[in-house]
This record gives sequence, C-alpha cells and structure tokens, in this order.
Amino acid sequence: MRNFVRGNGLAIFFLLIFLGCLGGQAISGHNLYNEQQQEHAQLLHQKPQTISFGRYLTSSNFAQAVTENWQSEYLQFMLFIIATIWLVQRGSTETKVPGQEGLESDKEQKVGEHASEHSPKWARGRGIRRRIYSQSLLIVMAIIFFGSWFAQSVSGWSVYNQDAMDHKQPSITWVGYLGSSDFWQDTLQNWQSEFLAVGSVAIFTVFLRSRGSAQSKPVGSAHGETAVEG
Amino acid sequence: MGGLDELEPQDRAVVELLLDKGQSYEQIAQTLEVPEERVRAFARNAVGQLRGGGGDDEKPPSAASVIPVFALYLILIFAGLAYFIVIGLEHH
Repeated sequence: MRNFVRGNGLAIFFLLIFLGCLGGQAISGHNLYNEQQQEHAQLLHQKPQTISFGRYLTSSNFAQAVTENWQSEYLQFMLFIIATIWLVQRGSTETKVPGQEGLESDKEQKVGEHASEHSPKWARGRGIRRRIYSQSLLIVMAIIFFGSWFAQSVSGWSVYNQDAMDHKQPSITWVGYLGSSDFWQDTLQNWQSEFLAVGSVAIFTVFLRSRGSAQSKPVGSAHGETAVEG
Repeated sequence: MGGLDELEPQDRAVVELLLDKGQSYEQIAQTLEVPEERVRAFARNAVGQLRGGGGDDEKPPSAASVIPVFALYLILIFAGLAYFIVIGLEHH
C-alpha cells in the first residue's frame, strides 16, 4: 500500500485537491446562485426561487461553470503536445532540443523493428494500431477537450435561454448560441489565461530554477541548455 | 558494453571529435554544421549506447500499480463529461 501511494503520489495528490476544489466550487456556486435569486426576487418584489444543493448539482449553471474550465485546460495540453512536436524553445525544460523538431525516426521513437521486448504491444506492431498508439495521448486529450467544450456549449445554452425567459426575451438555438458573445466570452477568457501560463512556463524555465523539481533544470545548469530536467 | 563501431555515424563522429581531436561542443557544431544542442544529444546517445545499448535490454520497472489510478482518472473524466452533457441537454 505504501509503495502504491508513493509510486502514484503525483496523480493521487492532484486527484484529491481536484475533488476538494470541485466540492468547494459546488458549495460556493450554490450559495452564489441562491444569493442572486434572492436579489432578483427583491428587485421584482417576488418570492425568491432558491434551490437545494442537490438541485444545484444537476443544474446547467454548475455544469457550465465546471466544463468551461475543463475544456480550456485540455485545450492547453492538447496544443502543447502538438506544438512541442514541431516547435522548440532554446533553454527550456519543456521542449526538445533545437534540431530535433518533427515526428523523429522509428529508431528514436523505438517503434516497429526498433521496439524492444518491453515496448508496449501496439508500438511493436505495424499499420493502424501503431499509428493510433503513436498519437494516443493527443487523441485522448482532444476527445476530452471537444467533449467538455460541447458540454460547456449545451449547458451555457441552457443557462442563456433560462435568463432570456426570465427577462421575457426570445430563446435562441444551439447554433445561435455558438455564435453569441456570451459563449465566446466564457470560452476566450479561459483560453487566454491558459496560453499565457504555458508560454510563461516555457520561457521562465530558461532562466529561473526550482531546486529539486522535475519541471526545472538543475540549479547550476547553463541557461542555454535545452530539455534538461532536474 | 558496445564498441565505437556500433554507434550511429553521427554519434561516433561526435565522440571522435570530442576525444581524439579535443574539440569543444561549439567547434563540433561548426564542423558538423548542426546546432550545439544536437551535438550534446548525439554525445548523450553515444554514452548511453557505450554503457550498454541504451539500457533497452534491462527489464524496466512495472507500471501495474499505476493502472488503477489511470483507470480512475479516465472513468472520472468521461463519467463527468457524460453527466454534464446530459444535464445541459435535458434542460431543453
């Protein structure tokens, strides 16, 4: 058990803080929703339509709040995976060394005849299986990105139409919502922060260090050394 | 332990220029007309191979204990996605 926890420390740590934050988001989101309902009712001199915590967890408001962040995180990693095939950043720990851009040879990637007996089965094979396995990380990230972006769009659409109904405005179609400022404001406000953060990590690791971290070069490494991790 | 003859031509060239000619990485990069980082990568490759073929013959550690956590992540993410898509759609 101890070995299991130690060997999976990073994934378990992030899973636990993810669940903690998701719970916190649900609680604060529920409180905020009910506060807004009360303010709205006060203004209109109506009875507030507050909801239970269980009802909030199945609301489009909660679904939209969660998925708009999920999609941007997975987009960030998906783009980073693609970009680091072809682009390098001199001195960064996050990229390959200049001159290694591209998909690399079968020998460098240890596939087909260059695979060892310990290589994954699909890396040893040929054809479509190897092609799929060669990009399996990218494929899964892309599925999660597009899936969560779709989830954001349908839940956001639902919230938008609910607001429109409350304000006696006409509802819109899903395609109409995809072209709305509401959808793109929610989407792009997340994207811009992700891209800035990724760019920062790529460039900061050239000159800055974090002793002992796998995301940093050894403290004494030269600034120009690329793809060296501590 | 592999020998120099078993190295890839570019790896061997780097080792020879480093050890026989005493050239620096910068000089080798100019000689071979490749970036200096590439020269360092060739040298690392060569050292790995000379130490024993890059370690491919050694049995790597098992990833069996990672499988439950990997599966849990996938299940959580895809169950979450399905849940949120259903919620979004059912309110119409």
